[in-house]
Amino acid sequence: MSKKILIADDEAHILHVLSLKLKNAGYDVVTAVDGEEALDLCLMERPDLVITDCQMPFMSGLKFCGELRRHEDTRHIPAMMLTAREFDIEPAELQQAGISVILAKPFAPREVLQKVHELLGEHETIESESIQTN
Amino acid sequence: MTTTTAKPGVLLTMGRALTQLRTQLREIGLNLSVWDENGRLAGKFQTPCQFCQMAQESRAGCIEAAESLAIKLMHDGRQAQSVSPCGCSLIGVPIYQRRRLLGAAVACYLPRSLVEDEAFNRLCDRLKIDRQAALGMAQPFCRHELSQADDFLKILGWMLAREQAVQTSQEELGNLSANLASTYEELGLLYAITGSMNINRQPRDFLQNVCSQILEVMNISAAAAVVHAKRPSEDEIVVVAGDMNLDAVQIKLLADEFVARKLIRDQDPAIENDFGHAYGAAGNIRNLIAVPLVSDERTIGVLMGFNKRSGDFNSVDVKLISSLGTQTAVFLEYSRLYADMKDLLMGVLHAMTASIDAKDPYTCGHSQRVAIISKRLAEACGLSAEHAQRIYLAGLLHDVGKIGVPESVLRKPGRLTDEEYDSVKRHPAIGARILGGIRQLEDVVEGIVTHHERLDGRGYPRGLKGDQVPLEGRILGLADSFDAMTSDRTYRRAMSLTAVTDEIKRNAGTQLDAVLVDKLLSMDLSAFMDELSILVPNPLGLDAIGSKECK
Repeated sequence: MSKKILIADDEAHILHVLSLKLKNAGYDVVTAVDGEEALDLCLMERPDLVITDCQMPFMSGLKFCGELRRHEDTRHIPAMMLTAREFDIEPAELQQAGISVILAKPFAPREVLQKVHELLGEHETIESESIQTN
Repeated sequence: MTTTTAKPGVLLTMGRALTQLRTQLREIGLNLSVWDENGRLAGKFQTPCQFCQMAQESRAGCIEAAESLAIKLMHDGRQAQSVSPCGCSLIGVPIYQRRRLLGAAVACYLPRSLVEDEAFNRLCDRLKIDRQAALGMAQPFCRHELSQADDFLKILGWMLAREQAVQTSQEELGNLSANLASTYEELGLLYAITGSMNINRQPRDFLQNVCSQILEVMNISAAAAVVHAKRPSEDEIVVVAGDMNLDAVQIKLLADEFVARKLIRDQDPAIENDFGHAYGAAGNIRNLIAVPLVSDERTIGVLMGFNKRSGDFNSVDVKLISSLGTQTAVFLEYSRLYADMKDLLMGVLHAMTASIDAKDPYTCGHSQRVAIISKRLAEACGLSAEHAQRIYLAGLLHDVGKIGVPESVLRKPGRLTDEEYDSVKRHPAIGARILGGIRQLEDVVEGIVTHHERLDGRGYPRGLKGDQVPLEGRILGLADSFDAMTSDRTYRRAMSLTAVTDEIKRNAGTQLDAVLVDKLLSMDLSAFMDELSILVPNPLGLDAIGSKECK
């Protein structure tokens, strides 16, 4: 069964670009446009990994990841943050929220995919991304 | 029919979709009202007919009914319908954006059954309206059956969903396009800067270009670059672009202060989004971004951007300016290296030729003058700057082979014996041999080896004729003769300019190239001679080496 990744970002184009890249690499993708929605979806969908923006309406990415750690069922989910203000975030905050990877925007989708593989312990790249455009 | 207006709510982010929906529904006789998440009317409420309006005045109209329905929808989060006291049929759907409840849309219409209803008559009596008059007001607007409410509810739900989807898609497309456009701009900037890294370009020019391009792409008010001098002989470069009236002194101070305050730690880029607040200084600077120019682990300068026009500097700006900083540092380093190599090469060549000239005090500065004259002739022939520079080098080195000719021969005041003359005639070939191993001077050697050839075939070493003598050789030959005649030699004093001109004319077509002779003689020769004496005053202080006669 393919692994499920949740992407949270209030910028639709980021969701589109990443969804496409990750779906083509064989992952199931769910998207959220704010931290609250992301948290609800996580509790429902139990993704294997979350990728989140930092600045989002209603609940920030940091808060969202912090919340994940408070629930028994979502505590273990690895998290990656994509942000345009990584310089504003203290390493301690990242650690507290259980965010193990932070990438500064603009990022290369390839770079994100590689980090996803690493976080999910899939060191071997999934063979030749199938060319689908859903 | 009157309208009631309420304060616009959060809902109005959906404005376009709802306006569209309202217009379409009105065409089929349904009046749409929109309610925000607090149950307040957003926008206008249009009563279906005058009868409803009159009923409204007695609080029996459709506004209250719509409001109650909206509140119910907000509470239940599901579609619902009701009938107003004035007999209007009301249908309503909650408005969601993603999963968030934003408000409710309620449509109302007068059902045909209204006027046949006993309730209608009772209401007329209560409102003290003549039944016939009321009928006249309401009847034209009764287009649909009460039983159609279920279908209308479904249709309203679908239409709302569709309009919302269209609006969301359009917004996303707009944002995506804007994002793509700025990404293209950034890419374009990087391409343009990479493409403009021409090594012959002046560093100041290059930096100015970088600054004015950043200005536009990063949407900032000013950009500046400071490049420190590497040696005392170099100047510090400061360039500014933009409309903040920052002068070079301010920029330099800012760059120094910035480094001093260790904002640029570990040679990383830095941003300060609250500059005024944090530093309480530097006039109108609100925020800034800076990246050190690092070459070979040494900070050689700073590239800075000031006052982003929209919001704060972010990591997108950091990545862009960092990339530009890296490219700029690479360019500056290469440019410096290139200039160094060029200076070194020219220095070595000048030293080399000066040492040849030193063998013969009478030819002091001759090589340099021939180089200058040759270059001038090349330019007069319309040759490219690069070609003219190669000819300059050939001129500089044309007598290098004299290193192989005994000093006694070169310095001999009287006539040379045949044997001595033969040894002099070997110098072009010797020069070619000396320089022959230098790949970069291959084409220069061609001019050197042929500079004593004559068009009539009586030259040396090969006795080439006419077209066989390459242009470089002809130019060098003419420049050599001209300088020889206008200088003192061991065997004679310098000739007058008139005599030189006559002599050159006499030899045009036989020894010398007639076209080149024309080019030379059309110059203001007396001014040119003055210029030469300034350009080559006393080359490399040969007096010091002991050539007393060197003028």
